[in-house]
Amino acid sequence: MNKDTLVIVNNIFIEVFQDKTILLDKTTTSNDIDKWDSLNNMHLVVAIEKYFKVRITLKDIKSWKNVGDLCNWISNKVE
Amino acid sequence: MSVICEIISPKSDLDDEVEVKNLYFSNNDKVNENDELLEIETSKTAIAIESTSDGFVEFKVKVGEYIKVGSVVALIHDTPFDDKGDSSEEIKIDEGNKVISAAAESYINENNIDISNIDKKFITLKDLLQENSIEKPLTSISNEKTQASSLETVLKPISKSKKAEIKALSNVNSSGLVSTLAINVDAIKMKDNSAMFANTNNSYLPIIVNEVSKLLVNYPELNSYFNVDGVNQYLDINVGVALDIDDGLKIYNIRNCNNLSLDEIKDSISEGVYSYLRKTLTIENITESTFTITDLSQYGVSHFIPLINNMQSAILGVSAIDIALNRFTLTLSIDHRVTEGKVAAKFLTELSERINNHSS
Repeated sequence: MNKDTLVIVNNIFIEVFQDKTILLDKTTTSNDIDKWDSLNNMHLVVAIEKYFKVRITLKDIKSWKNVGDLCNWISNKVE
Repeated sequence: MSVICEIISPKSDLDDEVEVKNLYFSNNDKVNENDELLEIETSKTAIAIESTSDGFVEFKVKVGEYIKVGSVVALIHDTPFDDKGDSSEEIKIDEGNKVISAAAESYINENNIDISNIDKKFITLKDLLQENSIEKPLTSISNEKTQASSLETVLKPISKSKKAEIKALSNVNSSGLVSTLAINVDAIKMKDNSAMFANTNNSYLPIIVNEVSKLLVNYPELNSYFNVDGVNQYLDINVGVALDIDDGLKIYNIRNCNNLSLDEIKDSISEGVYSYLRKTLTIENITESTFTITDLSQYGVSHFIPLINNMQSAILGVSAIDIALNRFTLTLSIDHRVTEGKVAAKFLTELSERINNHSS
């Protein structure tokens, strides 16, 4: 996993959740962040798409088990 | 020279009329199949209308004009045509010696507008639409004068899309025969599939959509609408999910919902919300729903009275979970011209039981 990607994704989470205390690691899941509901879930996806200029499908989303999976997917797409 | 095809304004659930926002070509321009010709705005969204053929375009509408849904907005000719100008700008001279375009005259008559205070000799539809102060019918102006005139107000014009929404929602709700019933539903423990981006996993909405669509098979009167000749029952069950996040109210339609699995409904709702946020919803996505569910649980409300959409007889509202009481409220507004309270009560009770069967 690219460390820079994790830092950027962390900033996107802070922006979407409006919570500066969020500190992601590769094992973080939706169970670890209170406000991570279905709607914010979708805001996150769209924000990630916009920043990295990638298109995310439901199939992609379903394949991720944690933030590490997400960052690996992004790294593979943008490299 | 002959007309290859007509371009029609698509039909909309909520609107009888839509506004022309942009024309992307001029008359006699060469266009190709699938070129976006013009943009219209419904009460829910802006929609680009594409050409269905190669040829030369002749527009039958103008920017700012309100047009009936299902009307012809453009013709595609096989060769360049003789452009003699648009008949909608045919002129008429009124008693005050003002020159009025035909489109403006039609708008004036429909909206009962007083043009005496417009300081122009030639009045077009665009002039009327820009003059917010004269958009109000004379009757509402005179009513205002009888009210507390010492209070200062600031007039904030209502957007065109909001006006269309008001008009459409008024169709059923202004009948005065709408009532709303509520039921408390025990909050259930959601099944966790442990996916990081568990789509709609924390939401009751997919379960509610799933159970409502299956129940509607047994309650056809709630999947119908009233008209002067009787009640039209829909044969399809298309559940619309109201989305109002940051781009206005839109009803995302899950077609033939009763034939979908819970997982398919979850995916469909997710796709709808993604499309909403990406602003890529199509006219097919947001039209022809037969029953609507509006979920305000994200906003913490304990209960609310939802307004029934045009050409429907019922709408279900989903409120937030009361943490202390471990329950949430469902409210069902019904059109009494189509159904009755006893039926709605039975529907809600069965729905509550079905939702609780999903508890893990």
